[in-house]
Amino acid sequence: MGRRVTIDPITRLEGHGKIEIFLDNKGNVENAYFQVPEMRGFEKFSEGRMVEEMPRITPKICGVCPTAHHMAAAKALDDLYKVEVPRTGRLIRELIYNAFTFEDHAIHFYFLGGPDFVVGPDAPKAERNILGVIGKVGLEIGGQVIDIRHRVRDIITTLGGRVIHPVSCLPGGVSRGLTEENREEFTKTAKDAVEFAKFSLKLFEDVVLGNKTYVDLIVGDVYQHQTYYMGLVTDDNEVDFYDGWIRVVTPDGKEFAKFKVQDWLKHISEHTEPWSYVKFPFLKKVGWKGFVDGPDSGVYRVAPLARLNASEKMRTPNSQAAREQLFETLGFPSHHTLGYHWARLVEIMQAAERMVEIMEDPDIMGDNIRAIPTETPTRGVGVVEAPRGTLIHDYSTDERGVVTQANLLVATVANAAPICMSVERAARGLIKGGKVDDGLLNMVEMAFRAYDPCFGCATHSLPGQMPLEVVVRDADGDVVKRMSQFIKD
Amino acid sequence: MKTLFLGLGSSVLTDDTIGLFVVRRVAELVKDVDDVYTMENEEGGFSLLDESLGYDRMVVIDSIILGNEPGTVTKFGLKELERSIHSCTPHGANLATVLELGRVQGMAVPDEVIIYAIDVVDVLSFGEEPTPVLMEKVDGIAERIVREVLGDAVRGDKAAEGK
Repeated sequence: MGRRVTIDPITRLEGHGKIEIFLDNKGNVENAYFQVPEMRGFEKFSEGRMVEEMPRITPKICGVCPTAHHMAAAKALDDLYKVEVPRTGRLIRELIYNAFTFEDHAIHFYFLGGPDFVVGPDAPKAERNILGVIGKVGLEIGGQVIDIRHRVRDIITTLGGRVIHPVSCLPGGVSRGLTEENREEFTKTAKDAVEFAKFSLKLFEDVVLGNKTYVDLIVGDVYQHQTYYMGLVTDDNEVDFYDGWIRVVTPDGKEFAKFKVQDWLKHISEHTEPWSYVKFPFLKKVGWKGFVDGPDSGVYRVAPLARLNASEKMRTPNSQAAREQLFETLGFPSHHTLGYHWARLVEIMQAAERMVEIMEDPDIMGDNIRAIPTETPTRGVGVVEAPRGTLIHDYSTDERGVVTQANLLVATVANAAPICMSVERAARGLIKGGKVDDGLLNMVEMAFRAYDPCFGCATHSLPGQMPLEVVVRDADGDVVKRMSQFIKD
Repeated sequence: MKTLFLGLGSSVLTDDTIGLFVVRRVAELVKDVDDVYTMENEEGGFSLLDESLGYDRMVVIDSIILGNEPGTVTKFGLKELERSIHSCTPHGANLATVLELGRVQGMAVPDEVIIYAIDVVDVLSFGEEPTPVLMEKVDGIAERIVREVLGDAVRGDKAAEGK
C-alpha cells in the first residue's frame, strides 16, 4: 500500500476547483479527491435584509446561471407570502425559465461538452475547445448556435426586465406581460428552437451514437455509478424545470420518495469531510455510507440524466420520443455519467416545445400577471431545476419580512459527492502503472465535465473561467503531473 | 475610435466588486468624451461576446489573483490569455475564447482589447464593496486607466479633477 498522505485542512484550495489523485507504490490510483470552492458568509449577508431583495441579490452569486437563482428566490417568496401566481404570470415565468434552460443547455452541449465527442477525447488539447467544435461542424452551424441563443435570450431579457440579470419576478407573479409584437417574435423563436433541438439530437445520433468508440465510452464501466436520482416532477411524474414535487428513485428506478419542496430538510442531510469546504448532501433515510454508490448509500445525483431517471415521462411529444430512444440504448434507469450529455439534448427539446406550447396558450396574453401578497411571512421554500440540477432556496423572516435565516442548496453541491466518485472511478480505470498523460487526464476531466458543474464565483475573476487543476501524486506525495488551463503551469 | 470600458465582477462578492467600482469612477471621468462608453457586467462567458460587439476597442477591468500586493494593476492583451482557450472549464467560456469565437464567426468584435487586471484577495466572501485597502485605490486605478487609454482625449490632470 502506498504511503497515505493526510490532507491538512489548510491545504484546501481557495477560489478554484482541484482534482487530486494519489497513486500507490505500483503507480495505480489509490484515492482521488475533488475539491469545490465554497462561497462564505451568505447567511450573514442575507440576515437583516428585506426578503424582497433576494430575487435581486441571489442572481449575482453566479455569473453563469443567474436566472435559476432569480426564479428559485421568487418562488420562495410566493411560498413565504402564501400567494398563488395567476395563470398568466405563471406562464410568463415558465416561458422565461424554459428559454433559459434551452440556451444554457445548448451552449453547454456545443461548446463545453461537445469537444469531448464532436472533436474527440483523444484530440490534441489545443483542439478540444469551442473552436475545435466549429472546425468540425462548420461555421454555419456555429453561427446557428450563436443566433438561436441570442434570440432565445431576447425572450429572457425582454420579459426579465434587465439585460444582465432578470428582475421581473415578484412575489405573486411578474412585473410585465407580453405585447402583440412580443407574441409574434417569440412564437417564431420558439418554433425555430424546436427545429434546432431536432437538429441537435440528429447530430448527436450521427456523430456520437454512430461512432462505436464513443458509444463504448458512454456505456463502459469507467463512467458509471448506480446511485439514487432526484428531480422535480409534475403530478403525473413528468419532468418539469419550473415546479412540482421532488421525486427520488432508487438505483433500480423505483420511487423512493416524492415530497413537497417545503419538506426537503426531512429528506436531505449533509456530510462534512476535513479536506473540503463543501458539505456533501445525502438522503437521510438511507444514510451516509461514504463515497460509494448502490442502494445502501444515500448518495444521489441531480441534473439532466438524473431528472430523466427520477421521472416517468417528458411533458412534450418530441422530447418523449427522444427520451425513449435514450433509455432503449442505455437502459432504465441509466447510470451512465456521459449520458448526461444526451439527456441534456432531450431536455433542450422539451424546453423548446414548452416554449411553443406556452406561446400558443391564449392565457399568455392575459392581463392578470400578479397576485398581491397579503399574508404575514414566516418561512418560504422555492425549488427549480437549474440546468445542472435541483436548486433550493429556503428563507425565514420575521413578521415584517426581514430575513432571519437564508439557506441555499445549489445543484453543483448536490452533485459534489457523485463528482468525486466519478473522478475517482475514471482515474482508477484509466491511470495504471504510473502512466499519466494529457489524454488520460482529459478522460478524467470528462467524468467531471458531464455534470456541467458551476462554480459561479470563480467565473468572475480573470481569466474568466473556473480554474481547474488536476494534480497527480506518487506514493510519496510528490507531484508526478500537474495539469491546469491556467496561463501559469 | 468607439471605445468601451467594461467593468467585470460580482456586486456581492467583496473584492470581486473592484472592476465595477473602478468602471463607475471611469464613467465619471469620461462622461464628456465622444465615442467612449462604459458598462458593468456581472455575468461571464458568452455574455462577454454579446457586450463586445460593435466596438473598435474594448478595455476590460476585472479582478485577478496573482499573489501581488492588493491593488497591483497588471495590463495585458488577449495574447496573454491564448493558452487559456481550452474546454477544461466545466461551465462557461472565458473572454479570450468567446472573442476568438466571435472573430472566427465573422462577428463585429473589437480589433483591440486591453485588459487591466487588479490583484485582489477575497472573492469568496459576501460583501458589497472591496476591502478597505482596495477601496482606497479605486480612484487612482481609474485615473491611470483613463490616462493610458485615452491619452490626449482626457489629460491626466483633467481626469484627476473629474472633468
